[in-house]
Amino acid sequence: MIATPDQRLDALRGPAPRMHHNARTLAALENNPRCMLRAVLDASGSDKAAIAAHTGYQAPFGQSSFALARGNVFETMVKANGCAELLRVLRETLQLTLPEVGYQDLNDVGGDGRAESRHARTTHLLTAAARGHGSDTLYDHPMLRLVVGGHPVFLEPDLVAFRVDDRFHVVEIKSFPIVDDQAAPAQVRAATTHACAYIIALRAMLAASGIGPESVSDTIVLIAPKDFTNRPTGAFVDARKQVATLTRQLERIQRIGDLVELLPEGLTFDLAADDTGRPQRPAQELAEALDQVPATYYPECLNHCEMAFYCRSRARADGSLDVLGSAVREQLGGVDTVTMALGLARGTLTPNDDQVEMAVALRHAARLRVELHNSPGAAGAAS
Amino acid sequence: MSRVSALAHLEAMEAMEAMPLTRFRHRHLSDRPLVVIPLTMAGEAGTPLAVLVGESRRSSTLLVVGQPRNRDQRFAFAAEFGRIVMGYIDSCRQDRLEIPSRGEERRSRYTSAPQILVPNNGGIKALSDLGRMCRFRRTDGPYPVPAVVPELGKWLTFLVETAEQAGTSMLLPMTGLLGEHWATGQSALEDQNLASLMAWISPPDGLTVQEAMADAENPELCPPAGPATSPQFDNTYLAPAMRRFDTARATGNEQALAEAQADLRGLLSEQLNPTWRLMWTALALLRGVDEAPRAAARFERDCDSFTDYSDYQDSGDARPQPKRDGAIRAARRLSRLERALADFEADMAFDDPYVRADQRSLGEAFAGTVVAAEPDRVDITASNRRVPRPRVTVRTLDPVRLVDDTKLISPTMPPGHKAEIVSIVRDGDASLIMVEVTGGMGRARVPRPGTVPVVEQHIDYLPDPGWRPTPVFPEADQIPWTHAGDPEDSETMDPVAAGQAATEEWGDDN
Amino acid sequence: MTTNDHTGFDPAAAADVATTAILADLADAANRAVVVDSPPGAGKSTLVVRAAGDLVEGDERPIIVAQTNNQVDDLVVRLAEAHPDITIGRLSASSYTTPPTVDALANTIVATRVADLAGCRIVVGTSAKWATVRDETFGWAILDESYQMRSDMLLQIVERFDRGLFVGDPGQLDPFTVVGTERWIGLPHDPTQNGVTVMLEHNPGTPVHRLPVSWRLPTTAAPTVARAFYPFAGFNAGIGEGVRALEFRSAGFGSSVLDETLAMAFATGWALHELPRRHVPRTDSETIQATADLAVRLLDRGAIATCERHRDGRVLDAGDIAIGVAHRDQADLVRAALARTGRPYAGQVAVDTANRLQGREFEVVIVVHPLSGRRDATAFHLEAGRLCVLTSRHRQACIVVAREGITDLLDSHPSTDAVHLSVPAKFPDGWEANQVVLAKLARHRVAA
Repeated sequence: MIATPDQRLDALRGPAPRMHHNARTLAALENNPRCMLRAVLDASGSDKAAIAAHTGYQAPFGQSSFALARGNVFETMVKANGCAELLRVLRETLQLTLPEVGYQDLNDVGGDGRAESRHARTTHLLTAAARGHGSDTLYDHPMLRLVVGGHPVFLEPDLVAFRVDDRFHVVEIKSFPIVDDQAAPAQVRAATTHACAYIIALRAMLAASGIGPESVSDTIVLIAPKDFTNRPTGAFVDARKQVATLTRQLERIQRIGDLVELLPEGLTFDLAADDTGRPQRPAQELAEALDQVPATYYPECLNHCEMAFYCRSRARADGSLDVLGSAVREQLGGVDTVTMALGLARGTLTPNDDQVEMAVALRHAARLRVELHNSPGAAGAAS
Repeated sequence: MSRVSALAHLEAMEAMEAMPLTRFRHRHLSDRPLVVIPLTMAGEAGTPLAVLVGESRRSSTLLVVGQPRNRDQRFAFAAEFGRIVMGYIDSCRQDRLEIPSRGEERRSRYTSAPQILVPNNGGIKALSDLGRMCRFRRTDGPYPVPAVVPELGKWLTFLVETAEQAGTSMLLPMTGLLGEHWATGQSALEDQNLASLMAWISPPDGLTVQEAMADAENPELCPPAGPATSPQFDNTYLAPAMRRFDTARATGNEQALAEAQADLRGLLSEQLNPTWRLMWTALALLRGVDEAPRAAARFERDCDSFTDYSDYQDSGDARPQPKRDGAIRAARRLSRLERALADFEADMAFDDPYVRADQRSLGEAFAGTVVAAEPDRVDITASNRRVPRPRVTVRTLDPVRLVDDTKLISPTMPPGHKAEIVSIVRDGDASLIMVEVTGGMGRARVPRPGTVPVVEQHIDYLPDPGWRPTPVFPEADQIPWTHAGDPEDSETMDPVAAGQAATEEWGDDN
Repeated sequence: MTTNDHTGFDPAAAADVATTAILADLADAANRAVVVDSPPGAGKSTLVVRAAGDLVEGDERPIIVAQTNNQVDDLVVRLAEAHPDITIGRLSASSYTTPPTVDALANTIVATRVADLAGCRIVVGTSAKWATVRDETFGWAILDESYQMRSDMLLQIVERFDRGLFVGDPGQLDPFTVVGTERWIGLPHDPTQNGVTVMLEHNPGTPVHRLPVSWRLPTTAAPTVARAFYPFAGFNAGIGEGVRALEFRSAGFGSSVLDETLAMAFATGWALHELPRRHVPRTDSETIQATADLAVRLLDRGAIATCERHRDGRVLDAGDIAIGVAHRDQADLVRAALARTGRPYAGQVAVDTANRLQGREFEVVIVVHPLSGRRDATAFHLEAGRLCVLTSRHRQACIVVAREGITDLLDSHPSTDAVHLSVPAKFPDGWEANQVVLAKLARHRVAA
């Protein structure tokens, strides 16, 4: 019997519980769509951090308790007194005309904090609002649901505002500052991609009731501290491009079955955890399994992927030019390894038909390097 | 990046050691730089946590903010740091030199300029944030601060702005400085980690490059060079120490407060000291590289702009730099930045055969041997004057892409040498480039000896960057209709706005 | 989306309506500025010449600002011919050599100083030259290709005139700076933005017109170019189906893949000459050689082009062909490859980067796809304006040369664009525009 893609994916993960996507991991989809290893690990719900750690390359990602505390304090402050500060920013800073405000806390449903119940209530309230029933305008921590690769993912935006231009707007409350109307681009980008997941999920939820995508705005409202103070300010972020990008990446996930079919039978990343959760699988065997799936390593992966240090060690061991980054690679066309590049440059390797041209250019560059090494007073730097 | 520089990275990767990217050091290095390593608090952008600062390896000062969220402590820190920085800046304002000028106005400039070295670009950002936080502060009204705070704010802003301009040396990140001169076998991203970059150039005694690289990424062994501290450090050590400090302060227990303070200082100094040592080691390495000939002239321009800003500060009506550039200020700055970049690149290419090799591999410059010469050739000008116009043919293996009539200069000929490409003929792998010498031969009818290349001479040519007119923009208070309209678009902040900025509300001064 | 296949659309009438409205706004004293957005080949120069004439009739002494010497010379020739009774001034730098076409004009004066052009009713110069003029002011300026003029350049010349007609193509390449700074992002007067955008930010009531008809692009190209690069405005082809045609004077001897590609382009207006999949540096000789070979093959076989100007057909010569690339070194290598063919016309084929092909027009354009053979797509290579320039210069046909693999490259392209507060996303998006063009080319593919 031939296994279905879902069965194959479950087998890849092993008996460990499935790791679910969240806004952060969905946003990470656009970082490196070419990487098959990442796609397969994500689709199978494998625990990348645990896998990386077991191979000896623990991901160094951690969050400072200061940052967490600051984020929570700021969000609480913005939402205090029925979102008084938030409303001030929406009305004064962003000059939005909001009707009288009804605030709806969706953090739990009468003490029931389960995602399913919260999602049901969110669906009920937001759908009604979209149809013109109900007087709420601010929805605190609604619970959204998005089906990613056949699996439901629950997503929880900070806040959704309605009746801002008669549309739903995702409101992101972040604790990085907006200084003189500018904020750190990397952080704005991260906030935006998270918000895009919410926009897509909101649209999917409303679409189920026949409500069109135009009911959810592509513009995100970002609330953040102003300058070096604790006082919130706001800005609009045009997320049209990121929404389109993330939509594309979600569509790509649907095609994971094609990738999985290419993998060898019996392949698994199961850590064979014992009763205490400690992995028992020999690390070498795990590494061999990982090596069956091609990874696409870029130095930028170090910023966001749990597997990056593992992949870098492989790239280094292979002498892959990926280690050096795209600026260097750009110069070397189809040549993949340092051995090959230097062999062609020094004339110790004979180029194949595809490499003749590159070999000529590299030999010229190598001759210039030799000329420099031999020139008087040369290479003071490294000696 | 060219293929020659790319190859240097490949060589480094193969040899597991850094390879030189330049023949010279293209930045002036001060005999007495001020090394500054700022740390900021996670989650609170621009909030200073500590700084290690000093003018020599053996004398550093550690300043710590016990509770960075507290406004008073923050500005007490700024004042203390400000006194150190201003003391340093004042020490550069001792001697002035008259500059001979043709204009009526006599000018003079300081013979020295400050040089602040930080570990990385993040360090510059931290100083930029601190400058922004301090420069609008008032010494009177609500929340007054000592005068040195806004003064520090203005000077830091000035220095950060010069750092945006190519070729300047008043505020430099060490990683950038090293990366300009050495190629490593890792990516540009990893080169931003000072310890990691230094692992390639000069690993600690007894360690291989591989070992040093691994250590560099382990925050236990190599604390980050800032401005962010490692999350593990924050959670395990800093947060508890800060809580003890807060408690001691709240209860007014002097002894506990002193102990808590000492604890904090101990912790942060442990985080900062390894980077401190790296900074001075890196500096010593850089000092070992010869300074490029044209770096001196760039340093004089630094002294000029330092003098100008200093005189403006002394003029009495010195205002803080605006939050954002107005239309005119922005246009002027863009022009200045573009010009500085073009000049710096041209200077480096002229001075440095390594940089020229990059251009040569791209076909934008060439070097070769003179294979034929017509040293006695003359032209008759429109005014019927006979002028020497010798022609020489250079044989080069460089993949030249320059076109006929390109104006050339040569770093291997006496100063003032100018030439133009007459023709380029391919000869197998080589190119035969005929150039006509048009300048630098003296005023006589016969070229001065040594000013015309001779057969078998090796010669380098590169395109003459030429001269560009300085753009003229409207005066800052007369913004034309295409660029005016926004009331906030004023070149300098009006007093009301400045007052508001000074009393920016602070939420939790706990 | 507008296309010209719905009957009842009269391009000439639509263009007339637009022109009349523009000239009316120009005559309205309430307008300090008028903007005209012009898609490729929509009669921008014709409008400039006509508007200048109108202004002179209204007793104005307009100046015209263009961005390059070539553009200025072209305008001077057209102005002198359209207005034989007016003297045209050509303001130039001292290093400028007057081309024969301008030299031959009886009613044109060339001078380096405005004072020497006192008798001229219209004075034309580059923006760089106008930036050196002091103290003289004029009533109206017509700023051509103004979307390619940086806002800081506008700031240097704006004091020379009271009112401005800003004409340009918003779909072409944006101006840029080599200085990497985010300092001015979000400011209405960002000096790295184009002059039109900045002027509009500060003068929100300014009338903005759009020329609705491309007289250059054939019916085969207009819908694709409009959809890819002008998704909101759109435009129609002015020349109906069947008016433009290409045929060979001689039959292909032997059937080479070059002939196959040319046949595809001649029959359908598009061809994708697709080389085998391979990661290559941008100087890849096979790609470079293919573009040169295609041009040479086309000219050697002799192509007869029929169009509204030449109803009985005309044999194309090298001046009718352009080869467009992304990088200067590619252009140099294509020129070298053409020279190696030894054909006497080799130097006549226009070979240039997208930047320098802006505003120009040819019968057949051969393009090296900016993404060909690349491992990754940078913002530079994805930029919509670049592909727009390259695929919208032709009156008859466009041939794109590329290595196989661009589809996969786009599919797996990581999204890393910076996101900024309160700055509208730029459209068209380079990725989307590339997809539209690639989808079109897929139906015109010839495997090489």
